[in-house]
Amino acid sequence: MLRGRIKFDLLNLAGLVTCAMILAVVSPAVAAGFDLSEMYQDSLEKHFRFDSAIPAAPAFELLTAHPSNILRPANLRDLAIAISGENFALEFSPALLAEGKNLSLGDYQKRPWLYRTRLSAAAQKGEGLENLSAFAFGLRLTLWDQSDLRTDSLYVASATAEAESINAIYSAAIQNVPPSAGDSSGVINPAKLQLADMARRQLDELANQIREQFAKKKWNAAIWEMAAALKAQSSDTSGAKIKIQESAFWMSLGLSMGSWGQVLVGLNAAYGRADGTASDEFKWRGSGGFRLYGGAANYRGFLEGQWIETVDLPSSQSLKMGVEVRLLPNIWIALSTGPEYSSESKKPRFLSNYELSLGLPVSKWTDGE
Amino acid sequence: MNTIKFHRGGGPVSVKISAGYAQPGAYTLIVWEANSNAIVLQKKGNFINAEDDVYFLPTPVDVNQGRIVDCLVTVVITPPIRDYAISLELNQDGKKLHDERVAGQTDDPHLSARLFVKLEGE
Repeated sequence: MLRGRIKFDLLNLAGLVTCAMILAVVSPAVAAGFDLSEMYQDSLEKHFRFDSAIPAAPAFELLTAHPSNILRPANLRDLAIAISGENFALEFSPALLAEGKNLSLGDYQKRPWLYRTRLSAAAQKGEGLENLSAFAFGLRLTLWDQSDLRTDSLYVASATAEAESINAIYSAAIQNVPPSAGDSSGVINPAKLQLADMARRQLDELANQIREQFAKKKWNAAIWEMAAALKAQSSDTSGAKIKIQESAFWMSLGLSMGSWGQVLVGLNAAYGRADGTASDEFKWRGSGGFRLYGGAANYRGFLEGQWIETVDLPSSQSLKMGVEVRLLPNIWIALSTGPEYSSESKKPRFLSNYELSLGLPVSKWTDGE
Repeated sequence: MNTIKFHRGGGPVSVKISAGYAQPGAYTLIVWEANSNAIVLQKKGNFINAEDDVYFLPTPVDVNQGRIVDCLVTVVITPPIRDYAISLELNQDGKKLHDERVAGQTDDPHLSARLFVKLEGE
């Protein structure tokens, strides 16, 4: 059986609908808002979805059947808001939002976890006979992230040296003349400066040097993330008659193996109503997975295993192997194949999966553009 | 160009250069003599440590009349944050005189800005 998914990035899918899907994947609250269990699978398999399929540090494509089972490493963001029809989604880093404009590098380095912490919220107006509106809130912590360039002293030193070189080029172009009375402070536009061709080339090279150097170095950086989310539903828009539907917890840990590999481990546990909104019975669901990577920034092979267990329901296990290759600067292809076993069918079946993903602006540097 | 008033009889005027959103970078600060291309003060620095990015203008403070404080700043836009906020802040006797600031968001790998103000005693 051949299964395929095609993923599109922010640049290629216009509008707020895309943003809503982005948030549906990247934020735990939104994940809860769009359902933490079956609905996640349903909605994502049916629609294009954003996914940093080869994320910066690095991919966490562990679970094909249930993409929400593993918390995927993601980058912090200042603020992202999506409104689609009567749905609403929001994700932000509260500390970065409050202090960002005055946040020095030194202050960030003292408490990086604080600025990486993200809160998320989502609301979805109900449809159909039940017409239940859903709300979800989430918290995501990145406790340890060696892909964070701001806490990498070598990167900071390289970036500082790059900035000094750029200043030297601009200083020469400005020719040490004071600004005149009619001038205003502002961003320097290199196109408006009389830069020598050599200086222009040097500016481009400086920009590319640091990207390439750290893309190679950070592709398998260690990371440890946790998230929790709570989902509730209400039968009217006033928010009355709220019922807790589901709560979930994610944890992911990535450890680098030299410069050539990485091991990723993910766990997910959820506790929710057993049978939709009407049931008063709650059940546990748990899943876990691992992925071993070997390769480099632009190509890698992997071995992946996953296990899914729900109380009183069939369990499943799978083992896959595959490759991920960067075809073009922003285009990746991932191929995987392997057996899956379900306790219901009691027969292993062979699955293949392919994914084409387009690079994302947010990760273009650390992905090694 | 903004003209910033300072107290001729007050204490020294300090200049603080900073970059927000934890963006690394470097700067060159120049104080130009009034109506001249002569450089009174020139300092280079970076944002690795914020503590050493404060400079005092020459004293007695009155000599700064008509001078231009000019700062060329480059920040390396470090993902995932694409925002930048560069500030040239002037203080005297613990009081903020002015904050010359450039802020925004960019997809470029680095951003340079020139911030400057003219000093006028009162």
